Amino acid sequence: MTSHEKTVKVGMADMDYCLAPNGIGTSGLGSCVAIIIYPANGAVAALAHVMLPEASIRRSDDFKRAKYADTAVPLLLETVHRFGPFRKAMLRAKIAGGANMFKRLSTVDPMMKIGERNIEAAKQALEEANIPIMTDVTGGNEGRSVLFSLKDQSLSVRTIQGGTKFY
Amino acid sequence: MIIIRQDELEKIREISNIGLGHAATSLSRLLNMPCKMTVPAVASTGFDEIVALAGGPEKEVAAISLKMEGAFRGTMLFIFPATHVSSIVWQLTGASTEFMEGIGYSALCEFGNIIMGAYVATFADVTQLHVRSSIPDVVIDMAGAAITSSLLPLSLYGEEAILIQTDFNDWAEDKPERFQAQFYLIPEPDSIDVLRTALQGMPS
Repeated sequence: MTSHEKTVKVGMADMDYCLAPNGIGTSGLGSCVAIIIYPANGAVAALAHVMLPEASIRRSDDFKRAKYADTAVPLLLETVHRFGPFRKAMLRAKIAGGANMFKRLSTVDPMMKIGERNIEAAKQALEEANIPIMTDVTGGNEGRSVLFSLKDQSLSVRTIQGGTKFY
Repeated sequence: MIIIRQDELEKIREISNIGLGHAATSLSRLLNMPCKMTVPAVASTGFDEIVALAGGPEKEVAAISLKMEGAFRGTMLFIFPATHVSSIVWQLTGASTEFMEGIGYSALCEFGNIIMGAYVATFADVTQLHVRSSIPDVVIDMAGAAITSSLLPLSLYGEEAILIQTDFNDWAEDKPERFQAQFYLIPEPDSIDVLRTALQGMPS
């Protein structure tokens, strides 16, 4: 990525956006999933660092919409549309994350397989919103850091073992 | 949301002092070399802070996690910089091994088992709660990925854990490997009251 490009960093269970020609990223995704929504003209991109599949499973009153896949997608759409409006057919998505980090513990505690459920929930929410997934770098058992660039709409995914790859 | 009071944290510090003392003794015996573990801090910590203390979301760490089951249920997480992994594996097995290739993984699991097992046994003893620990699991990866994945099932309820910070001292005389490690005790919500009652029964 070129040096003049700025990067917006998104924390756990959080959401933010960037405008062209900048980038937006999040670090250290394990079972969490990053969902990025952007219009095809690349004017804006919004990213959510999703931790859990559905808001309905929460047990406490505190409620961050970006934390759950099913509430994050509408939140991302609202955010993107602040810079639009964009026709629905213009919108695109990229997703990454959803690893199964603790393979052995996930046999003891099914809740540890939350990565798979996060991926499914993200895909379902995007399907319901009719947004095609252009890049899907999910599953496996490695941590990932991602950076989406509005310049070329590429998603760079870094892992400790595999280095950085562009999608 | 977990809310642990200061006087309760003091008691957990006391348990941790004894528990990690026992862990150090077991480790010293196994390795036949002096090993001390001191407990400098016990605090209530948010998930974001856990990742920050481990060196940030992308820092490469070793994370060993196990489940506490029985009368008290929760997760224990043990985190230290990944740079110490090869030395630990070497100390335990005498093998310089690539991690995750069989023996390295097993050695680290056993390392976690000795330390966290001793801790859980002391915890059970002092609180008089019937607690056992599951098999541990090890991950060496980005801190953000390892930590959130271990704590996620509990993030349904809140985002707080009990931090037990420790210094490893005199790991080996000829090759001093001092490092700071963090332990986290994350009670399941239903177990917080169980813990609270047990702590009240402890002499202060």
